[in-house]
Amino acid sequence: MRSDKSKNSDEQFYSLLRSVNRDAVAPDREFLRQLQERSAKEFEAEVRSGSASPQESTNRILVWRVIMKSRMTKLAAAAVIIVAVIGGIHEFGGLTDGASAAFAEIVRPVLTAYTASFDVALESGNQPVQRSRFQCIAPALIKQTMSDGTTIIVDYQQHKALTLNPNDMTANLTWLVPRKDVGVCDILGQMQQRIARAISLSDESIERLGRRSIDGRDAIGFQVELSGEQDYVIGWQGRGTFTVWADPDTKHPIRLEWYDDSTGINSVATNMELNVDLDEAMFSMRIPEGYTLTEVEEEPKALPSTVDEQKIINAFRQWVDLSGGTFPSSVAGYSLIKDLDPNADISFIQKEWKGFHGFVHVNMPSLKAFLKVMELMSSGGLIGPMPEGTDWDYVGKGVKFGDADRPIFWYRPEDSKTYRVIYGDLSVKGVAPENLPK
Amino acid sequence: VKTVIDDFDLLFNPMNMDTDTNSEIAQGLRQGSCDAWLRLYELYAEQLWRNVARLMYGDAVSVADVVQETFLVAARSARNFDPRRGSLWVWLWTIAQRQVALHYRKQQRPKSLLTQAQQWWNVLDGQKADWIDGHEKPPAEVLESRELATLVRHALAELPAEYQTLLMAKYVDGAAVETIAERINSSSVAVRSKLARARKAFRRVFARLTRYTPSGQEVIP
Repeated sequence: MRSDKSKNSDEQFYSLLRSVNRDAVAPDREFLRQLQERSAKEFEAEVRSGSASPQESTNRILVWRVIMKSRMTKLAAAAVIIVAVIGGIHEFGGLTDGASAAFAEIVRPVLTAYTASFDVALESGNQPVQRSRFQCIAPALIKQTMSDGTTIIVDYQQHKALTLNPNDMTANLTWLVPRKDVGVCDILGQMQQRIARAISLSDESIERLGRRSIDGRDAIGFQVELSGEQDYVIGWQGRGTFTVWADPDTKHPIRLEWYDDSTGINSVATNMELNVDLDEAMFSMRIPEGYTLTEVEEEPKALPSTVDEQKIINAFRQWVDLSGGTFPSSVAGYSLIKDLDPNADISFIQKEWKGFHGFVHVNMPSLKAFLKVMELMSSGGLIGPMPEGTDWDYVGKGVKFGDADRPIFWYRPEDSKTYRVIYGDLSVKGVAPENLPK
Repeated sequence: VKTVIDDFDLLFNPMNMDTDTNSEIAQGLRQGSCDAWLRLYELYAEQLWRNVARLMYGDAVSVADVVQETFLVAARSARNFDPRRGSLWVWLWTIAQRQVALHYRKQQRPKSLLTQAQQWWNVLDGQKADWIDGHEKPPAEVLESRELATLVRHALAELPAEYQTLLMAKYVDGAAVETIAERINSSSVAVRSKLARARKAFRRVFARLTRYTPSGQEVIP
């Protein structure tokens, strides 16, 4: 069911991608012939020096498990990783001798930590360094105390965040949006995810930095380049450099650094205390005496368990009424505002650290349109939240209402082999996977 | 320096290797067989060079450096290759992708080229959003411009290795979906689905890159 439009789109994409051929240097065959010899010698040398075959070396492999027993746990912890050293199973591979094994040894305390307490410094260009103390009981309880005394307490089990500002004695209670806010506050969880990705890489990805004096202490260091995994939900690209310095004798981490390519922010964790006793009372959501509760957001609705097709159709109908008959560019995000008012000014500002409140600045001239879009987005986007794990896509950008030949949205109901496709006239048909619109 | 133009289909394409060959080589590598390494090299060396060259900037020395580092690193870790984690080609390309990133991390030139390309894009006339979405073909002078090549390279470079290999195989090398599916032991439906996600990811990254403004702020969609 490929329309002329989708074929045309494919051709345009073809021409766009092929632009990378411009100035691309043709293979130097003489160079490649010489490299063949050099690389074969390198391979042989590696084989000769390896005392154990990959199968035999798996007794030292770390095995990773991701707890996903409940939706709450998945959403709350982003990825809670249990590390177990067992023999005979090769889950991820890549860890044998050399840098990766040594790296694994010194990051293991961080990965196995069930409580953590450390200082965090966020460095970004010429901006003042933002300092805070981070404490957590994994996976759900987090407390971050900023240098000005402001405290953010997050309880992922309750999906709540409490900000206490001792300077004006105000409190702000916020409901976290599942998936969107997860990970933003959880510095330990983010760190563990990066380490988990790094440790699954093989020796060549991990650079030994040798011995140096770090924060006045003798330390050994390792650095890992992470090529990135896209996460458009929180906008984190995951590309950057992860560096760890540890005590050469105890292997206790002294300093962990993460440089994020996409934001230019360098995060530094020091004074790490792992698996120390932390009193749960310090993560209480109770408003302390003397504080004034200034803002309480409405509790978000839980994720639905099934797709409400009629609700989605109604949302699209409401949108075309608002837009004058054209379906939106996307069903989520601030492009909805742009669709209604191209003059809206939406900027992403990364000048200062403002905790989980994010960095979005909106300056929209048409208040009416803005309020309407906010209303539509209040349940997580134009179509509202979809059930966890649903395979769906929106393909209606630019489609005019009434166009019965143009699909705008499709999804696969749970346990169904076929997809439900909504068209521009808001009719719905069942479609086999091979006939899905691109 | 010769420029590669349209001879990709005539040259070796690693997508043409069947899964049995892939398994044989993987097994040989794990057993420390030098023949397996030589087979892998013969199969992939030229294609790796071409793909690296596509992500770089017409500098033969830099391309050679990255290709060399990729194969030397791969030679040191080839015995640990696990076919359950993906094909040989994706494994090799993941190493290459990292080497390209490491190479550029040491240089300022790509950043300045990107800035120039972003500024060029900002002042372009035309339905730029439609170009990215594939609703309209960009003018020939845009398609042939060095700046567009820079933007596409940067967008590709930000994608996961699997997306890069799929997009380049399908849209740059011109491999059929069925061929790609057969060679990576997958179904055409799955490959189409992955390609759709890869295109979407590419468009998102491209949109983010091209909405850059000289003030240092990014406009989010």
